[in-house]
Amino acid sequence: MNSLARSRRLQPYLFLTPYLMGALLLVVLPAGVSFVIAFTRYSGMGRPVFVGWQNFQWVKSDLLFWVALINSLLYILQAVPLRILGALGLALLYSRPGRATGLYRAAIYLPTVIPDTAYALVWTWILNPFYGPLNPALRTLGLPAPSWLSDSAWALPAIVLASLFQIGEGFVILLAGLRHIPRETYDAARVDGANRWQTFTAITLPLLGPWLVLLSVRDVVLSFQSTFTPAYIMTRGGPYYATHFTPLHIYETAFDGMHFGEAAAVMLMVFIVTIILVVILYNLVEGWGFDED
Amino acid sequence: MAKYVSFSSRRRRPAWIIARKVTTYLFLSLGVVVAVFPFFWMISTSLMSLGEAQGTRLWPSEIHLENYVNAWKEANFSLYLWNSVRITFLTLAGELTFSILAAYAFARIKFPGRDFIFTVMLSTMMIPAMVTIIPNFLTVTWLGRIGPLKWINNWPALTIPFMGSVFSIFLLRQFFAQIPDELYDAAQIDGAGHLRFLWQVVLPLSKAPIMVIVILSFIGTWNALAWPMLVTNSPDWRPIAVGLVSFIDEAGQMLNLMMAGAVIAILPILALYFFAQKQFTESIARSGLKG
Repeated sequence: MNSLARSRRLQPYLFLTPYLMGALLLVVLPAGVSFVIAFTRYSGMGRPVFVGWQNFQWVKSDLLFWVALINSLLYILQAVPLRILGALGLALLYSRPGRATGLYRAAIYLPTVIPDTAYALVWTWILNPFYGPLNPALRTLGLPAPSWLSDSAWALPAIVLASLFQIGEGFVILLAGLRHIPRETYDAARVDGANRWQTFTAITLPLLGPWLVLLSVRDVVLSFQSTFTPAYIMTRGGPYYATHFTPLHIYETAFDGMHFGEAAAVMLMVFIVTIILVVILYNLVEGWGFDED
Repeated sequence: MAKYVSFSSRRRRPAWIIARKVTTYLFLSLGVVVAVFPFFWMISTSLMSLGEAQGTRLWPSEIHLENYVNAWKEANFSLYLWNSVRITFLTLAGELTFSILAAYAFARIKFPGRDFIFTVMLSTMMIPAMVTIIPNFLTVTWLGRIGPLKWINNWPALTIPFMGSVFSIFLLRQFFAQIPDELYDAAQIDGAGHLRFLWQVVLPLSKAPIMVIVILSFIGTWNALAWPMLVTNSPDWRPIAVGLVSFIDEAGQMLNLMMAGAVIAILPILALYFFAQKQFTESIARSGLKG
């Protein structure tokens, strides 16, 4: 009896062991190792040599690192607000129940499930100034038709543009957020004579606040790594490093140049920048209905 | 003016209401057209002759289904697709086992340190994959050197690192926690332990989140590019994304074949998505960020 009770008590730990071992070995430990490697010189062979702050000094004076960081920040500055606004706009548009809304929603979500590689490939050709369908359409509308991926001024906005279609997750989550707002709140506002814009700014926006903040934070964190596939396939970082983003920079430093120490230092710096961005974001929207959590 | 009309009876719909409805639906449809355009263009180009694909046509004058046959043969897609299926299947088997057990422990069993472990686990979600890719690569090569198992160029490197998913555990925990305690009490009276209860009661009730994990895991395997490129150097275990990239390099300007290849690469995911679309969006919405 006693042994049975003891085995019951051990059971939760047994249930957790496989996951915890994996997480320890492949997430927590590697994160720690990253931190240590950043202070060493290591090429994958032999033993890492401790070099103190040398890697950080090297990274600091590496022009390409700054290019990559600024590109990533530019990408985030454009993509995240537009993606959140897009998801919000779509959620508002498609929130009303009606005929075929399910179909509409499935269609909006569709680009999000398309694998990044195939998606980047399709956009490479949509944006192609000679064969792609985008520029003829722009010309018909009388708009300027730049050569997108081969123009260093337009390559980054082009990747932002492609990313704007994969906003299914934000869309679906905000739809759920809208459904959480009680009908009566809107009715009360209408009785008080609020117009549409007033209801939106006084009710919808504040009540969606926490969802919007969480989505933005997530998007910032993910945007630092999600640029790898589009940049790798669409431009390989070019032209003239216009789309040389941090993940590509880390990948090339570590695995093409075999400079693991320097790459780890870059990772740490990017990680710190991410944290700073997230903190700024939280402070910007402070008081935006975070009292619930 | 408008105020007066809106007071009139419901039967006779005034013209401006109809007009508004029509514009709304036009807008809604426009959004859909824009959203699916890249996808539409991919399919239509994949059916064109090379000459047409390099022109500005939106729809082929003749359907060239043989593009698919050619792309399939030239890109060796049968091998890559089979690899992706194998990788997904192995990842999923491990991921489901580990996350179901862990989620059950977090949701249904009270034990010292539970909330602490759960919080730490959730916070590892904030560690971007980028921060762990280098040490993971070193770990995997190191494990392959010291252990009997071959990791690089083999299934362990491609699957084992993805078997512990914080998101899956979180999602399942939310569902498991909603199951009423009375069910467990009744099961216990009948002599069932945690494992039996989990297997016979909890899992049958949790088909929706499990389906979501299946789809997300599928998408994850189909999406992964950087990691598989890193841990494979021959096609033996390379997944479809890597196959597609090497096909792009070989195909050069054969736009129609490339698009056919892209369609082949995404077809399994699309099939799965259409099959489980409703369950998927609902579950993401319900558990994506909040519980």
